[in-house]
Amino acid sequence: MIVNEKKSSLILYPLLSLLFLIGIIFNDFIGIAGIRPDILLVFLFVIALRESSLIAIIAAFCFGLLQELVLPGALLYWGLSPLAKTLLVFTLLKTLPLILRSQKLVFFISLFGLIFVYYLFYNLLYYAGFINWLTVIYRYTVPESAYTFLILMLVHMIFPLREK
Amino acid sequence: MLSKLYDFIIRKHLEILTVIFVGVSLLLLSRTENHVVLVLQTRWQDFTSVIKKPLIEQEHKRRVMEENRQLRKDVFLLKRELAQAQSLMMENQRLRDMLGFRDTSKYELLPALIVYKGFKDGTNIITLNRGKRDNVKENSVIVNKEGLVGRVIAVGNRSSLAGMIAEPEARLSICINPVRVYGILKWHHGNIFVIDDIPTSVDVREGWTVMTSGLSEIYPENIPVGRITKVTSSENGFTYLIEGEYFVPFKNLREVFIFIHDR
Repeated sequence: MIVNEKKSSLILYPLLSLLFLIGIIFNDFIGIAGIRPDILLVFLFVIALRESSLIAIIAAFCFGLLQELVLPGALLYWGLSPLAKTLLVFTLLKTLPLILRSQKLVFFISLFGLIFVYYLFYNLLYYAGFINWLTVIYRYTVPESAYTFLILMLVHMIFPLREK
Repeated sequence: MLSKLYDFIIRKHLEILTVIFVGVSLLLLSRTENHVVLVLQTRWQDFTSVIKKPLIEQEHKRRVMEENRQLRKDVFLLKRELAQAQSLMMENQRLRDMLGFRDTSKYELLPALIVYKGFKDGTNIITLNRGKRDNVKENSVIVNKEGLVGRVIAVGNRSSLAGMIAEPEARLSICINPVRVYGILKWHHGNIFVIDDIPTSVDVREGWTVMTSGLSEIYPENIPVGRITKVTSSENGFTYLIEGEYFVPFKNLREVFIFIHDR
């Protein structure tokens, strides 16, 4: 069982890293009508659900910094991404026992809810003063959450997230 | 004391790390546009741009092609609009000229539009959008601002059929101005008419105008018909062979006037 999990991790993490590299290098090309998924967020979910809380929270902060370094335009608010990701992973880790005990549907709704809240928090701060908050929700938050959740589901189909 | 602190850190490591990370993030937020970060980001962009170059070029090409397609579409639409505008301008000019002619004419003129040009029983006919309702009668005379066009040959309630003077069977009693010589005009070909049987004893020259004589029961006198373009003597030497050109461009005729009655 442990050997199997290790094998799975050996495939999963390089795969996610590759996905992440593709995501940051070809960020402009994977967007649909200006909506881009956050592949690092998917990565973080996998880590939070499979690894220890210490690794997950450090990864959240580091990934946030990495995202702001490598993605163009993210420097408008330097520190916003690590802040949002740290808070998201903290919330996820705190609610994880409850989420894992719940039914499958509730589990996925909870994941989507967390992604949505993350984007809501991030986008409301990022676009504050530029775009009306309602527009931020329907133009960015909802589609970006859906896109990222879709990728998370694709990863889940290959490597089930409820193994922890 | 130290062991208690250690236990607390171990127990609450998640909360402590979160507070630290949140604090650092907030600190970074307050120092937006950090120079080192900007340099790092620029270098990263330089590095990735090499990998992205083919895709960027492809994307650029696609955009240029799309823009080109859109521009060609716009050019087509603009050309069409220009053609429409020119057509409307010409129509406007024609109608203005007709309006001026109507106001100076001594007859009561009813403007009519040619809705159909055709051929019936060996005769060129035109269909006008005026009929009995508009007081149009059989043999009502049709003119345009240049001169005589023809006459109404059949009248319906809302439309009427008319025959033109430029056709094989048409004959017209005319008078050559300024000498006031009378003769019969016949269509020859295209926009050309001929007048024969004018005696060589009278002086007839090229450029003189041909008007209706008023001897006909249908056409009133002095309606312009055409201009003489060629004068030659016939074989017997007693009469002229006169050729002329109608004033009315029958091929391009679109709007006409129908004589209702004298003013």
